[in-house]
Amino acid sequence: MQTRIKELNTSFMVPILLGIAWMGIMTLIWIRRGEFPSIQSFAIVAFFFAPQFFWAFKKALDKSKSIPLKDELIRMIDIYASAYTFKISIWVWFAIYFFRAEFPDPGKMVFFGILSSFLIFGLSRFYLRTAGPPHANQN
Amino acid sequence: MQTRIKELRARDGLTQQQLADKVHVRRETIVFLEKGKYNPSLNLAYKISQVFELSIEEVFQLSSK
Repeated sequence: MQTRIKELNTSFMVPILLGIAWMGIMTLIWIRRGEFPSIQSFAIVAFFFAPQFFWAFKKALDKSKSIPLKDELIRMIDIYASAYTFKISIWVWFAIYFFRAEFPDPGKMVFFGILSSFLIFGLSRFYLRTAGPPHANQN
Repeated sequence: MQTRIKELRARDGLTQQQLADKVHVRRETIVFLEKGKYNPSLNLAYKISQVFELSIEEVFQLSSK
């Protein structure tokens, strides 16, 4: 029983730590600027923390219900999504190189490439979680 | 791949979540298996067959297509 309580406490530590980190960043902004952070600052920092917080909380909740975080299907979906991202990213970077004159500075060019890869991974993962991994029709 | 998971679940009065808990996977995996959208590993197929006390061949059949 004690071990179980200890496990639950450990799994809920991540969202708690993320919350503390968020408050820490806001306090740092407050100290450095000398004024209380604006609502926009809170929103921007929360926007970057929200997905991590959501997934950490969901993982902790699943763990408390003894639901495995990743089973063989989820692992396969991750592998396929990564492979799709890699393959499509090659073409995206090729297109970026081809249209490099269109980008005002190299920083924006690299940011566009990274953002594209991020979006491709998200879309691939969403598609695979809806349609299933392609090997299901191998017969 | 065709499966009899849904039929066998109904026979044994198991929900998707209960079956998922017994074989240590997420409920989504059972949903995908029942819809024929995912071919399980041999390990998972064996575990599911054990839950229903049948052989793998009696739970999973290769479709002729």
